[in-house]
Amino acid sequence: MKDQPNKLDQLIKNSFEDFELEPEASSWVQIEEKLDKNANNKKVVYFYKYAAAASILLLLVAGFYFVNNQKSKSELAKSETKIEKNRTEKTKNDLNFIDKKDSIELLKNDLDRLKVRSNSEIKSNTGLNTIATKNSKNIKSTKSHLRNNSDKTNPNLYEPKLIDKDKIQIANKNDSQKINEVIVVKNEKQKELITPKSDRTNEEFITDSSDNVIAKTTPTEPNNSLLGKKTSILNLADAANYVAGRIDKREEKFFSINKNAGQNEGYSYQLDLGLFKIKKSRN
Amino acid sequence: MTVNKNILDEIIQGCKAGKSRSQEMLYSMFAGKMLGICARYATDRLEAEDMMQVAFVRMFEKINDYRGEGSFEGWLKRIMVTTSIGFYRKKLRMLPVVASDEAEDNVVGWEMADSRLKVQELLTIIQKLSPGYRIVFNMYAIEGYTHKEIAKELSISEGTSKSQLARARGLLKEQVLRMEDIYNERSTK
Repeated sequence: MKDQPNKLDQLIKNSFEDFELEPEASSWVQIEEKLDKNANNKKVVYFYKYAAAASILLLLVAGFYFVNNQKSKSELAKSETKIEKNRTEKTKNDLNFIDKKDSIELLKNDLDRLKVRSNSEIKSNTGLNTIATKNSKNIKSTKSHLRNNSDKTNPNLYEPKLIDKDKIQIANKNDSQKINEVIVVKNEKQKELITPKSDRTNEEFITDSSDNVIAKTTPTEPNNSLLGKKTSILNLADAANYVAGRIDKREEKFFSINKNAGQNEGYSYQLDLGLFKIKKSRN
Repeated sequence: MTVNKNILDEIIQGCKAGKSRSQEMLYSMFAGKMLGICARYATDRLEAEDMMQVAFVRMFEKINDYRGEGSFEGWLKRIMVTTSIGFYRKKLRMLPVVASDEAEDNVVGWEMADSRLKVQELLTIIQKLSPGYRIVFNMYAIEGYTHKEIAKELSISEGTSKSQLARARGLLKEQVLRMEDIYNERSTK
């Protein structure tokens, strides 16, 4: 029944067959105007698109320029520090050459075997001598030297001082510090030579009872700049930093992940685009 | 179709190339007929003009979508209908109405299935229907959409479409009968 055309429907449909209405004379003009307007709108849209693209490009260029500027600056600074480093190393080598033969070798060879627990034990020269006699030939010569000159104030005196072993271990335990070098110094003069006073703030000296420097410890720098340092990749953040470090040779990388200090343990992400810096912390 | 197909194809090609002259020719070919379609979906003449203009603009902007498959007039008609519906889509809040059986019965003794009513008067009747009834009736009875298509087009259920049609028919029948009476009275006098 429903398939059959409804009579009413049919009637009305037939009535409207070829039905036409005369449009307003202005109708076509209005359509043309609408078409033009839409075309203009499209043009405007395209203009904004190009404008947006151009401004992004401009930002990138500006950022690149800024970054390059910074890069050259930091490179300059780096080369300066390199020169300084070379200079200090040179003096160190000189000093090492002086001390190497008699002092460091002695230390290296005998430190393990000399079971000195505290400074008080090495207070007396005689005590030292008794222990020293048991040991290798290397110190035999120095031993006699020591016997002959018991006066401390004598500048020519060679007086080996031994590092307190416990102290070294403590230093090792502390993550931020490492014993970089062990230098035995004869007197205050050499101490001055090794470390100019301005540099001392970062360094600690292991001294014996008579306040002579027997070892120098320098705190290791926090692993901020990965460049030129051996890095251990333990997690994803390290890997990301390593890659960033490989690409970006500046001090402040374009991308870095740092471990947050303090109670809120987590990571902070830093994105450095020259002009813009984005920093986000996440737990 | 009175227009020579080759001429029409040429005009369409011109429109695709963005030629203003071709667009105007195409408009003048179909404007009257398309306005006649839009008028059935509108409440008045002014709205019908508006619908037709918007539909033509839309057609010109996407004429490249017309690949010559099927008749161009059919394609254009569809744009007219969808554009006209668009005028009401937002306002349309169609709810399923209780369909009266009365509307479905065809017993009414009209022996004028082939005859024609006075179109202008019929148009006025249709335009007075509420938008929901008007659109569904137009789409189903005149344009030949199925309930499924209507439901999809208007985002309503098929049931709603059916009940709207039934209600529209009921109202139209009443009006048409009255119109017939007046018509008959006039002719007998």
